Amino acid sequence: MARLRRNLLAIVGLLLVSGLLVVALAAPWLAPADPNASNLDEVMRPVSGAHLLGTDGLGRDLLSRVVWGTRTSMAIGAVVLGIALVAGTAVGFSAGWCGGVVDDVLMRLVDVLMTFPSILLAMAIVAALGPGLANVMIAVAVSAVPRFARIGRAVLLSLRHQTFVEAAWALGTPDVRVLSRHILPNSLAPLAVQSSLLFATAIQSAAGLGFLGLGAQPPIAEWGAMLAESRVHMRVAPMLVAAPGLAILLTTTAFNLLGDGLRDFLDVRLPAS
Amino acid sequence: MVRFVIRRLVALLPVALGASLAAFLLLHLVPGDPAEVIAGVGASAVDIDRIRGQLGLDRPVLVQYARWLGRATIGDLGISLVSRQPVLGQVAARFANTLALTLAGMAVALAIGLATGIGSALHRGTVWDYAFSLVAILGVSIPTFWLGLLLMLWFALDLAWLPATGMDGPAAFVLPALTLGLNAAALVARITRSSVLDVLGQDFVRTAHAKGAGPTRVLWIHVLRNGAIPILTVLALQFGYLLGGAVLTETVFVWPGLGRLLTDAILQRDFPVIQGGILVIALAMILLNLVTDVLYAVVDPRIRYE
Repeated sequence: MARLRRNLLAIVGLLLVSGLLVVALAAPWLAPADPNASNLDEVMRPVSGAHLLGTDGLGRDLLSRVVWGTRTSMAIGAVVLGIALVAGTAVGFSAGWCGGVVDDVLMRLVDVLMTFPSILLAMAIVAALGPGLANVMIAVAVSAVPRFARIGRAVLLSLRHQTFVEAAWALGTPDVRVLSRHILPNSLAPLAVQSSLLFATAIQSAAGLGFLGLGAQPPIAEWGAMLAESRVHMRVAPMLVAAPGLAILLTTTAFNLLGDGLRDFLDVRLPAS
Repeated sequence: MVRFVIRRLVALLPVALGASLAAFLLLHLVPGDPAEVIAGVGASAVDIDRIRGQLGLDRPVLVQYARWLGRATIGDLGISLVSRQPVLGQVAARFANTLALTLAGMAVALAIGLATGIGSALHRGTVWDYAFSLVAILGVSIPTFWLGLLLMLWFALDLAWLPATGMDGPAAFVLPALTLGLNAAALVARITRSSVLDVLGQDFVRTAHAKGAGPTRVLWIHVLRNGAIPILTVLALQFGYLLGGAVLTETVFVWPGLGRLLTDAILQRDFPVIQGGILVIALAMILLNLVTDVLYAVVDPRIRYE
C-alpha cells in the first residue's frame, strides 16, 4: 500500500514534469500574447476574457509571462543541472579514482564550498561575476557541484572493489573504459535521483536570486523577478503575486515528487556523506 | 571530551583557511580589472588609481591575501566603499539580527517538525500520516519568499494582526520566523518520522516495553535518544539552510540583517562588505559544524573514541 501510494505520487510528479516541459517548449504558441508587450492603458486589469490572469503593472498579459517564465525556469534547471552534473561527477570520480593527494585536495575544496549555505555561495559568485541570468546559472551550478562530487566519489569507492570491476581490470581493460562502461552505468541511479531534486532546488534558488534583483533582469519573464516587480501591488492585484508563486511551487513540487519516487523505485540507498 | 573538541578544532582549521581564501579571492574572480569595476562606469583614471591604492590591488595577490587575513584576525575587515564605515561594525550588528531571526526560525522548525514527525511515526499508516506526508512535500517545495509574501498579505495587511516589516518587539518576529521555519519544519518532520520508525522496530524497544517501561519513558529515553543522530544532522544542515533562507526572508520583511546588507553590497559592488559578510558567515558555519560534532559525541559516546 505504501509502495503503491509512493509510486502514484511519483507518476503524478512525472506527469507534471512532462506537462511543464511541453509548456516550456511550446511557450510561443501557448502564450496568448507577447509577454513583453506593455500597454499602459491596460494596467493591472483583473481576470477577464481578454486576459485570463489579468495584466501586470506595465499592462503586460500575466498568463503569457507565466507561460514564458516556465521556459526561463526549465532552461535554468537544464543548464544548471548540465554543468553541475558533469563537473561534479568528474570531480568526484577523479578524487575517488586517483586517491591520495588528489583525493585530499579535491575533497577539501568540496568541504570549503559546502561550508557556505548554497544560496549564499551562489550570491557570493554573483557578487564577483555581476547580476544577470547567465551568471546566476553559473553560480547556482557551482554551488551544486559538491553534492554530485560527493555522490560520484562515494559510488566509485563502493564499486571499485566489486568483482565485476576487478574482473574488467584483470582482463586489461583501460581505466577510461572501466570508468565509462562499468562504473558510470552503475552510478546512474543515485545521480538520477539527485538530478531531479537539484532541478527543483536550482529553479527555486534562481527564482530567489531573481527576487533579490540579482538574477534575471527586466524585461525577462522570470517568476522570481516577477514576484519582486509586483509585490508593491500585492493588495490591489493579488493575482500578480499568486500566479508566479504557484508556478514555482508547482514546478518544485513536481521535481521533488519525481526525485522521491525515483529514489524508491530505483531503491537508492546512498552511503552517508 | 576536551581532547575531542581540540581534535575537531584542529581538523576544522584548514577548512576555515580555505573559506577565508575563497572569500578573499571573490574580488579577483571579477572579470577585468577589479578597481575599474568598483569605480564604476565613467570613473576617471585618478579615481581608479585611488581605489587600487586604497584596496592594495597593486600588490601581488598572495601579499594582498596575507595582509587581509592578518588584519581580519585582529578584527579589521576594512572600510565600506559606500558608507565609509568600518566593515566589522556593520557586519556584526547585522549578523546579530540575522542570528536572532535564524534562531526563531529554528525554534519553529523544531517545535513543528519534531511534533508532527513523532506523531506521524507513532500513528503510521493512518489518514493523518498520509495527509502529513503530502503537506511535508508541499512544505519542502514552497518558495520561502513567496510564503513570506502570502503570510504578510493575510496576517499583516488584510487582518492587521501583526506588523508587516521591521523588527520592533516580539510580535515582529512571528511572521518572519514562521516563513523561515516552515520549510525546515517539513524536512525535520520527514527525517524525524523515518528515524523514529527505524528505532521503533529495534529489539531494545520491545525489551523496554516488556520490562514494563511506560510509553512516555520508552519514547523519550529509548527511542528519541537512539534516533537523535540523523535528526541532529538534519538540524545542523537546516541551520545553515536557514541562515541562507534568512537572506530572502529579510528582503520580504525589510529585516535589517546580514542578507539584506550583502544583497545591497553586491548591487553596489561594495567588495570589502561582501568579503567581510561572507567570511563571517563561513566562520559561523564552521563553528556550527564543531558544535554539531560535539553534540554527536554527547548523544552517542561511542563517537568520542573513534
